[in-house]
Amino acid sequence: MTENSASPRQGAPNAFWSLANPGRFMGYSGTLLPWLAVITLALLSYGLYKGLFVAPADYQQGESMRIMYIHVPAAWMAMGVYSLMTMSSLGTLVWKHPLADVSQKAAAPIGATFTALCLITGSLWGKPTWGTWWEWDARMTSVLVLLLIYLGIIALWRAIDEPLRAARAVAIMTLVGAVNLPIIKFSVDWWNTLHQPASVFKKGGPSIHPAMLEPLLVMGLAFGFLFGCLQIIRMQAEIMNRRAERLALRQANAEA
Amino acid sequence: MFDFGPQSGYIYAAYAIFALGLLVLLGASLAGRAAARRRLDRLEAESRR
Repeated sequence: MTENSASPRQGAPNAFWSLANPGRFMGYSGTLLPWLAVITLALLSYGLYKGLFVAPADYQQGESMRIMYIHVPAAWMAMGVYSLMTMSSLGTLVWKHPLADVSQKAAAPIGATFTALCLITGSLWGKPTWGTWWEWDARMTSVLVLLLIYLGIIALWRAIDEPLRAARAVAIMTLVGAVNLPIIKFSVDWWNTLHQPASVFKKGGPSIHPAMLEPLLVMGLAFGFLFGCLQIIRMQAEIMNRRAERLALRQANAEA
Repeated sequence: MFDFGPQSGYIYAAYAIFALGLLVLLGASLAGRAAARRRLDRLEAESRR
């Protein structure tokens, strides 16, 4: 990524590339961030209130079902963040988008955290519901593999000093790891697992009761906005770090 | 504290770990950005001298 490398590419919309300029990103993201934070807090408060205190308990699972309001959105985000990283990897390899690798690097720890939270909260939901903390079923195993891929990506970013080489290597690894996404999504259909089949995003509409669906969707939206806030903060940090690296290098060259 | 019956412990633990995880991530992200800003400011000040 170079600071002024956001010139319009052939065939790409000009506005897209002008927004891709890291300097411009720092400007508009700084304005956007407080608003995103307020929306996130409002959605989280409303979703948690409805999920914990208003929504009814499940007739079979009882109160433990309330863990769903953080477990399921965390699972959505674990996969959603990886999908974004896959797009960013294409942006790095194909379109050489100046913010693509910044976005990829910033998103990886966030995705890893959401995946870990999904696994831990799932385990805490599994014990009272299934009588076990962990089972090597297809859904849980494939999500664990996703966490390992996230950790591998973070490690690869740290292992290669040269940013351009690191970005390419990580982009290839991310694209290879994307094969795990459909496995996670369809694992409950392809194999016999402890997990129930899809109940929100499925043909014929959600089968979950509207009183439970509303807080779940609100929490999903809140997690999305939360990711937006965290992503902006981490991208700003990465852009400043790269500016500092270039400045330090320039100073070292001037002194030599 | 709100009582969710015999499953309260699982629910409290799940929400506590969720809150802790997000707070650690948010704290680390903000600290990382502050450190990057300090380093950049210092280098920019040095380069102006």
